[in-house]
Amino acid sequence: MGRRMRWGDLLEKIYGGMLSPSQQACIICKRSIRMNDTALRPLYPYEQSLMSLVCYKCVNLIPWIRELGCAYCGRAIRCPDCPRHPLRNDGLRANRSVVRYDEQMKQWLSQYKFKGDRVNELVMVRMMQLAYEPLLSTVWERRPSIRGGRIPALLQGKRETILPDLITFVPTTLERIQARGFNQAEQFARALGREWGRPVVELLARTQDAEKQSKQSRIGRERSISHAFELHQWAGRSLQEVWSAFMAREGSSVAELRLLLIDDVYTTGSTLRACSRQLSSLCWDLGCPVSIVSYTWARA
Amino acid sequence: MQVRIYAVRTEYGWHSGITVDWRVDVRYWLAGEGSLSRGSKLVVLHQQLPIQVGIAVLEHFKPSEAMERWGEQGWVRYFADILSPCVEELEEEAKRRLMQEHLAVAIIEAPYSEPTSKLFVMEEQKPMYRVAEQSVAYATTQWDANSSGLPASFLGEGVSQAGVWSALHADAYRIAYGICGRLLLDEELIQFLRDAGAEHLIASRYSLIQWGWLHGWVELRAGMSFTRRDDGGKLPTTASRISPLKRVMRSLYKASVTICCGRCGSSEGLSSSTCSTCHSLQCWTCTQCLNVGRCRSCAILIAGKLYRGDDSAVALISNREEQLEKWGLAPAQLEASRQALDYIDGVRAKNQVARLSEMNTSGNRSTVQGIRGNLRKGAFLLWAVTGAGKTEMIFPLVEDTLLHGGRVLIATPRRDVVLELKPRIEKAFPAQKVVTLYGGSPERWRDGDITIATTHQLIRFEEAFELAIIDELDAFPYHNDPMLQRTAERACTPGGVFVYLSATPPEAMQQNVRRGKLSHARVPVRFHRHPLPIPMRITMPSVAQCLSAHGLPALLLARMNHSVSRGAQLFVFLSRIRQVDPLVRLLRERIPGVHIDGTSAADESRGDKVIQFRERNIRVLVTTTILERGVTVPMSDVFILDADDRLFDAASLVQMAGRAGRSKDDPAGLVVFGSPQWNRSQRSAVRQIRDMNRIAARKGYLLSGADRRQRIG
Repeated sequence: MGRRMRWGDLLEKIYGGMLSPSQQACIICKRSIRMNDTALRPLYPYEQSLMSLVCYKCVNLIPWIRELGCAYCGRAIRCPDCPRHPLRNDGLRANRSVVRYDEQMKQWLSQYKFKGDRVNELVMVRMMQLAYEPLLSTVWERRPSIRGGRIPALLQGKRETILPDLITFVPTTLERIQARGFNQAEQFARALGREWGRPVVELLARTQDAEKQSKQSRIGRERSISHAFELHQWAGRSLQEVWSAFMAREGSSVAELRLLLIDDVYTTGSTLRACSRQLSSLCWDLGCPVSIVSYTWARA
Repeated sequence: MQVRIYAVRTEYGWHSGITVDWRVDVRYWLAGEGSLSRGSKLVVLHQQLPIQVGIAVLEHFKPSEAMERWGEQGWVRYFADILSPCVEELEEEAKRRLMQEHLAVAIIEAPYSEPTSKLFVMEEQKPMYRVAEQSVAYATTQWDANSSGLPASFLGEGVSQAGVWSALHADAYRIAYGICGRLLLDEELIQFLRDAGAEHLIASRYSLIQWGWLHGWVELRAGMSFTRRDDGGKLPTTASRISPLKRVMRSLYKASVTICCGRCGSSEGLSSSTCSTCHSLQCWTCTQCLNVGRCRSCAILIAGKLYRGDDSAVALISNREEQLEKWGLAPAQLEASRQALDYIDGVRAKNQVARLSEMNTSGNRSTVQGIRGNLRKGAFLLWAVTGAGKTEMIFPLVEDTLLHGGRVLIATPRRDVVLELKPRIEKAFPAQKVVTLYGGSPERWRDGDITIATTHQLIRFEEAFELAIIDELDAFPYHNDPMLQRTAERACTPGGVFVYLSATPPEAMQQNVRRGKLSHARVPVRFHRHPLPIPMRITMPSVAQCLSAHGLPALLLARMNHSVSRGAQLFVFLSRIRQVDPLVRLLRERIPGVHIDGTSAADESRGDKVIQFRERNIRVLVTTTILERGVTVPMSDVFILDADDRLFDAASLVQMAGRAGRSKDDPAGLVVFGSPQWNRSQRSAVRQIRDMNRIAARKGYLLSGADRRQRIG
């Protein structure tokens, strides 16, 4: 069957290529992308490379986080929460998010997550990829620009120095994977790892089946999530492997292992705090200095 | 969705099967006293497969003589053999799991037969329910019971095993009866059960639908299906005579297998991705019907196939004329309804003949499906002018189908129309259950004699309705959406009839009418028997120019003032949403003292404004084509500006012109086409309106003396 199908696919591709106009539909709104729209207004520099996937109108809707209101949780406005409960108490150095989680972004995410429109993943991963350098340079690079709170628009040639050494992601329950067919955080992490050539390791596992996070109040979230994660059965071994490979490459001069924790949305931070608690205790046990930064697509 | 596959030995040889709960199959095939049981041996593959793989594997299943002698090894080898071509798209890990050395089969034999299998030990012949009991116990101890378990009530104390199965049978039948004519995803089945107040059945739904599948009450399918061009066996079998080129061409031709959504039938707009549910690298998701639930390769589709209708029931039908009389239709409406009824009768008679002849040849009533497959669907176009009273005309058709024991669907593209139709239909058919379906409708899972639905909802139906009335078939979104047309097509039973309603049928359909390929009835006159108002032309600059010059032509303003002063409600149609607000401001300046407002598709308070317009609080409503249909406002005049815009085709001009003069009290409304040029669409629209008026006059449908009031455009 497989062989036959490939023939058919090939023919279809050839004929399709010859007959159909070379027009592309916007992944988000499914309308065709008209290239002349780009001439309308100068874009925020990194939006340009989204234009092959998404139409001008949809790109314009993206509420990028361009200024940090809080240097810890990466919120665009001042955050009353972080001073009271510092992220580092839970071993999390900082969080950075690509966009503000407004109505529009909620719609995008639910289209992807709940309705299962998997192509949206392309856009979201691309966004995370584009915003990574400017955002993370304010953590791992300690750029002076953080004083003003402004995130630099684009960095050139700095990428290698701020890439993580290891990527992991927030796990979800087996049941939900069965129903949904994918774990969005894992998808993001794997795509980013592929792009950067960095290892993606499954370090965490979900224990209990909590009520869906998005259906709970703040207190409920913290209570139910705090014990929801445990270490993956092979977490120690895989981390050890990465760490020793890292040491062999970098020599003993290296200060810390950069661990990037991926999730889709940072709402109260309780999920990421719980995950990072597990991770930092694991690293403590292994005696490997680590700097855990969480990176999410949206920040509520 | 994970399934298991099995082979079963029956009296007639080896058959294959697919199961979502194998214990039910054990019961179905093996339970029975002596020769009463349906099969004697069941070979179940232990490993679960994604449903799309399971279905593909079974296509390779070929019964052979040797199967009788095979033991476990033989079967494992055979299953590995037919599995290997089908697992290519799976992830490595899943593939490894399905390699020969990991496969295992369970050979289960009927209790009365000689025990040959060690797995299922039978010391003596046992009563039939022991089989099921054994199999249930077996499932919980031997295999990891991640296939759905029977509910606790089934195994509760005091309930005998035989009782369990009769309860299962009853519940399965109840579900099959409920979902008859529907096509559901697993999630939708859960919603259905919840709505039906059968939450306790949700956990055991797989057992129930499997029981239904075994009895032929439901069909199980994968979310995506392959459509293969059928070579129909016409090709000569001697390969030697075919030239090599031809052979290559044929292999390409055969190879053109396309994958398409099993629910909406789209073969375009499918996206593939890796999937953690089925562990496939290429699990397809249909993006065309994503709005009504996610259909992917590894999803299960459940089609209710229980045949509810009763062929033998011939309803007592009173005299045709009497039947028509009671609706109080105008002569033109009466004539059209009569023609449609005659057509439906014709189709019904033809199908009756086909059914009888089929039954005589096969002599077997059990193949209801086979018979139904040969029946043809009829189509009839009711071409009625705007405001002809189409709804009243369909009443006799609905009644006729109901009397014949059929179910009726009225589909319309828009939700507002569904809500508007419901009270009218309910009033006309007080004894029947009327169900309305639209996005977010609370009655989504109810079952009615008359179903009023938006066209999108038809995606959940398959062969459910004997009469499908498609209203406004040329309107967005039904028109030009092959998906909706396919689903509507599918919703009608074989042997059923489509009735299309339109004032402006699409060109292709008009052509079929002209060529005599499509039966139709034309209603050239409105129910009040006055002629349609003929559009009058005002040459004026385009709206963009008017707005930039901040002025409107005097003639247009005079006309508008005249309309307002005679007490009419004014529709002002524009082609662009962005011009609505500026024009509203301009009109407010030029026609002071009159409440003028504007609305468009982008306006959230559209509903309110339309209501206010109806209640005459708003006198002038500036709008776009969004209000071209379905809005009936008594005593209204219509101004179409930029009538030469390419967005206004003849059909939409006719529809907009049709807003005027709809009521009995003000049959002669004013219609104005304002444009710099007189183009083809406008000409064609005016011609269509004139044609209809002429036909009406010739057939004598117009009221005498009405001609005097007719305006000359």
